[in-house]
Amino acid sequence: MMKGCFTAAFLMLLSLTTPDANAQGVRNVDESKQSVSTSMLWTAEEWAKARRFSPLPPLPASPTNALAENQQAARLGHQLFFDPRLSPNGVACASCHQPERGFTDGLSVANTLSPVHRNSMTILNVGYYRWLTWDGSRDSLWHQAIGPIESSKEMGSSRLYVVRTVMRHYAQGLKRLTTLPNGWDQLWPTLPEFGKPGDPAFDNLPQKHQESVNRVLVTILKAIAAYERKLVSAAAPFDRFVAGDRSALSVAAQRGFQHFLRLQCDTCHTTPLFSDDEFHNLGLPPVPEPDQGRAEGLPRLQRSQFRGSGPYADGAPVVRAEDYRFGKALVGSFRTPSLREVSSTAPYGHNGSLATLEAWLDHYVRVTSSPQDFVGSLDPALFPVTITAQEKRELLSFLHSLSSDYSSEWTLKPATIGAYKSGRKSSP
Amino acid sequence: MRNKRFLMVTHSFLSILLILTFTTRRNDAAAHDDAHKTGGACRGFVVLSNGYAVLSDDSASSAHAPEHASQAAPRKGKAEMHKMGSEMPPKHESMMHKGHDHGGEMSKPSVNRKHLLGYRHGQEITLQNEMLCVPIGSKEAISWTTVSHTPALYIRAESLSDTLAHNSRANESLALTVMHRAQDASQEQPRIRLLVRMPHHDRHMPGGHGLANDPDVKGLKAQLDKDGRYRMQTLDFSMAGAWLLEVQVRQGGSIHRAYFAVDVDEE
Repeated sequence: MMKGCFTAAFLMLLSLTTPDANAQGVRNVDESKQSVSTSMLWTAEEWAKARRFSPLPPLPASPTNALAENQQAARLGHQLFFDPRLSPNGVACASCHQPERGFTDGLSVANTLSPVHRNSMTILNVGYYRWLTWDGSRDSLWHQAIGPIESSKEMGSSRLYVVRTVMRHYAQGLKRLTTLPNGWDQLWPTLPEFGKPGDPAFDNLPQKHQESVNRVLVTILKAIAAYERKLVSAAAPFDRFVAGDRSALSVAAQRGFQHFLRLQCDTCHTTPLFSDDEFHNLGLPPVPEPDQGRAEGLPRLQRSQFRGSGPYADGAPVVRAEDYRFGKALVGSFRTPSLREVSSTAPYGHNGSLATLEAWLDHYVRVTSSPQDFVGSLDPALFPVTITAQEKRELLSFLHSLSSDYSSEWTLKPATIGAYKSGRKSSP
Repeated sequence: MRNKRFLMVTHSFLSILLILTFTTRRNDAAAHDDAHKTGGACRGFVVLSNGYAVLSDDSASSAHAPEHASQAAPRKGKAEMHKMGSEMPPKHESMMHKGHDHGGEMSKPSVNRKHLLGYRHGQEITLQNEMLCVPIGSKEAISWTTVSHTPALYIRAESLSDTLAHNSRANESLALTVMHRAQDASQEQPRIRLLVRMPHHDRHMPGGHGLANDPDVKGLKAQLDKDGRYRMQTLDFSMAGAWLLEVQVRQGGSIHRAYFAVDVDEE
């Protein structure tokens, strides 16, 4: 009997000290080699949320751009995007939006002719947004392109230079897309070589000629936009996992998605784009200079002749800039970037002040508990968070699972295009 | 003698009956009062006496009041509410705009919740005097009826598209039918303004943030349409979740307020 008692006690002791392999997953095991079924990790609710993030839907229409789906326009735009001849300084769109760098430039802030104050945004998936640029000062893809072209720091070009260059090298391609203004063939060779609004060379032109230049310019911009709409993500590991490939996502990445939901990252990083296309102030430091963000971007959009509700749009815009009002809450707020392809688009933040994704996560923890110097008011949706080292690793695994092999014929530099200037790091 | 006795018994019986009836009614009222105090928690937003709103009962955002819900003010406090009149305290608007910084100035997150008068978002709140319960409509709702301290004010709101969603490709719009039997019989056409906010997102902004197209909650003007309804053409809900809409009806020098709450879905 005594023996039986001792045996029973021993067995009880054994059961208490042996780890339960079924509780909370397998501990102390290399999760990359874990062979247990991973499909059980997410709850039904988490699966439902995952299905809202994937797959990327077809591109939405672009009603203000009649050339948005035009293949010929896209092919012309492809050429123009990589062509350094659009700038007298040899700078192309691709100088800051390099295919091998996720269509960014890998720099904190763009710096081709001289440093600007913002990070180069990726062109990947840009056709899904309604607000373009960090501050939403553009409400269509074709509207966005004019900014860098005429910026003295970026391409240092002008609309007169661009239309003359395009007519010299791409006249036939342009004429296939649209009917050019009356008398344009006789007019454009007589135009000044260089000039934009604010320059006497452009301002002194008769109004009718200015209008003709703008019309041709807009066609060029719309062709570039048609090309940029071709740059979309392929299926990422996250997408394949949601579609049914249970080996596509590691356990760590699956847990990372759970942390992503628990921390309510999907408040702003929502929709299959993982961006709500809204503006938020995340308390980034005011470097290289204090930046008002949307608070300045909105009025600039509303003043622009190329806005979606303006005279150069082919149809009614999805949203009208006039329907939006300025508010102090917009100060220091910037558009939520997509998390797709985020592995390729470092550094991060509107000012590129966060070199890595780890730095981003650390920033979220820091800014919600002890914010430092920043412009405006912190976004009201933010709340204090803590992230353990393990959770951070898993979150990063999840974030990396949102990147795909986005290469296609459209990401290749056309063979006929010469070399273009690349950006360089700013001097300290 | 017998008749006297009969009358006395009948009189006593009737008296007892009257006493019992009176006592029961008093108990019912007391029970009703008790229900509002203890079991009558508001499931939605509670508009406080200072004009700020608190999200009462966290589950209110997922388990909603029925469509067209029109929550009446509790009986106990009704007389007191009428005494308040239709004007909110003047401090209301100025309080709503605090918490914003001018461009270029440093800002730190505010955790000052004095505007919530001791309440916190998510707790069950039983209505007290001068409070208003605004139930949150379901995600599937396309019309709502307001609640107000002004019994003569009745507003019906209808979505002009479909169910409300945070949609990056389109904005929402509403039609408002306003019925206000003003006692002063003013012939002036009411002017309608809509203030839309998420009160429970007030960590850095007392009162909560506004729409993407009205971030400071200054109010959007409704346009009077030919059919007599008022139209709010552009409502850009910046996120999914529960939103409180305050309809301000300005007429004859007075401002009357009515409220309804919606649950905006993800696109």
